[in-house]
Amino acid sequence: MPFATFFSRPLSAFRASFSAAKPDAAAAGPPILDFPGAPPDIRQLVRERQYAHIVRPADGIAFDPDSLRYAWKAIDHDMAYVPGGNVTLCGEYATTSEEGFVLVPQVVGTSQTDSIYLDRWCVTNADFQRFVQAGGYENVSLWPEQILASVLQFVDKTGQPGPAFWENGQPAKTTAAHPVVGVSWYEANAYAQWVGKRLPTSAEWQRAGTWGATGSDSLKESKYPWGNSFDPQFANTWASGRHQTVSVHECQGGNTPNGIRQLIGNVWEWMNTQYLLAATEEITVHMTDPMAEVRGGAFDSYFHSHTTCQSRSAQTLLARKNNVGFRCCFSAEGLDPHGDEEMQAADA
Amino acid sequence: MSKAEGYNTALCYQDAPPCVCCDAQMTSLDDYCEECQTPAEITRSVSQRHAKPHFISVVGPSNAGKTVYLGLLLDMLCGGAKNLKGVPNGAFSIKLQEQVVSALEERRFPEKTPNESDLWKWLHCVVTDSSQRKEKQVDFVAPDFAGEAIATELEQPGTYAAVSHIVQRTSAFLLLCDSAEVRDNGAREDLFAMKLGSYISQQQALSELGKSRDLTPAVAIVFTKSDTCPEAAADPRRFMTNNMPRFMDYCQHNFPRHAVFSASVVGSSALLSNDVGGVARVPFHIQPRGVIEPLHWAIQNS
Repeated sequence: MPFATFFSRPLSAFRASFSAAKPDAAAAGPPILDFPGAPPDIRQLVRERQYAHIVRPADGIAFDPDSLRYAWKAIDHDMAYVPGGNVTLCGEYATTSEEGFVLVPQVVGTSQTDSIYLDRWCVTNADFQRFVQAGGYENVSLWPEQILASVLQFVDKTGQPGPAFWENGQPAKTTAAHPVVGVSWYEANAYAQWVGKRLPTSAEWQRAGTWGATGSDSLKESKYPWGNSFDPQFANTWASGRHQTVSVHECQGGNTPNGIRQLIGNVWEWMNTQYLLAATEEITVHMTDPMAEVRGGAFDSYFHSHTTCQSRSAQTLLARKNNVGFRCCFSAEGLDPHGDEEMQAADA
Repeated sequence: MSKAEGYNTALCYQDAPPCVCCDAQMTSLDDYCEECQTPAEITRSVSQRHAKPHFISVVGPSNAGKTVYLGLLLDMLCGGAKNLKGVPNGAFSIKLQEQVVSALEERRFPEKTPNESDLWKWLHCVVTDSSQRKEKQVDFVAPDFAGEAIATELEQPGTYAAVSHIVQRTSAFLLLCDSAEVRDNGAREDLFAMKLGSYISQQQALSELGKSRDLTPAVAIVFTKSDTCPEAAADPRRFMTNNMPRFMDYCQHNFPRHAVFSASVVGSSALLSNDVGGVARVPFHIQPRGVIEPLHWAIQNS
């Protein structure tokens, strides 16, 4: 976004603009965007949430202004701008104490993040179903060569390609607006590629949760997107008593100021960051399979101290858990979003 | 003994209820039962409630996860889960919960339970089960046994009086087995469970000799640490049939009321080893699965 545009319309970049958002919209379906007036190919890309291909075309050939206008409208609906900045990354190292092996918390360091557009909500079952129906599991260009054999095992309960807890290639009817779970890190990546996005890094995710909520009396990042005190109304963790995933429409009290939902709770989110566990020299860490970081905690996370914006956990890349989902992002660098005025003028 | 000393001693006996575990007479000055080492505070706590205590014992081999299971179970009961709500009766009941919860929140497992029975932590929790139309309230009393003490008692009955007395009084057992150990060393775990089952049958039969009917206890077999053993998590009964056939057969013949569960408390973990041969897991985050269900079943079936 150009510097001048940013300062002339600062709130338009950050605002929570999803018009269909309702605090009591638990029973609502997944947020679906459709522009009947758009050219057919653009309309389909928007319906399949592949609008990122329009603003960041893989072949470098720019789309026409009308298509870009629709794409930015969709991005404004689905994604939030997260300004770049510094985050303090925390981690832990393994050591030996009188109590045996322990993990000692430590500050890993400061990380500078660039500006990104981040999905306002996790990828839903309905979103992922479009990927499955479009043959995402058969599209070899979306999968690293070394795991092609494993892709054959990425099947649902009935042996159809799809997330682990689906049946007959479909999610349960009542969960269309719930985050998709039962997907490995590779499946999350394949979907992200398919829609022209990627998984956020841990630093980017942390920045999204903390940049707008730093207390004026503290230089520290806030623990949660809404502040430093946990509130079970704002996040679906063990304390909220739901014990299962909920719709992406729920818990909106826990939104970031720019309308990113459920960073904390509901489902852990896959990160584009490898999990590495430091250890003192007498200790060997046995990790048979590589692990990626997961962030944010889930509906079954028992301690809210494990679900802050700073805390991290990990899962093996092939794990397909019922409490791990994902959201996507893309870099904001070099992009020039069409402003509200242009969109409104074009609509008129 | 002077008249005054005799009078004081008589007063001590008069005030003190008999041990809740072995019925031995205690005095109000005792900290532990001399017979079975049960803490006097648990006896006082139970007697103040004027309700028949419901002994539910968490047993199993060393390192099966008894302490973590019991401590987290109590914490979950306090918060209320699956129609069960628990209220610890006395500060001593919170010691185990505090030890386990503090450790897990710091992403480590609590220290091993010492073998000495006077160092075991006990809990007395009033549990209300509201799953039926008529609420049921039970005084859930349980010690955190050391696995080594159980093993020693099985080999040499009478070594740990606390174990034998509690086993006699227990109406439901939660028999914990490490699912990964069962998967990898099935026969050993199977035989240990057989020994334990046989010991329970023997002790309970002894305690029932004078009664007109034979009451077998409810036995919930719980495969713990199922986060590291997906087979146990997916179908615990099938897992037991395949990996502990002897004990499965024993349960079918001797414990008409038995059920099989799987449980875990860890969502993700790493295996560490050190240069002196130590091997252990450290948890990354805590997500309890199947912890309440065995207790709920035990309450409803005992």
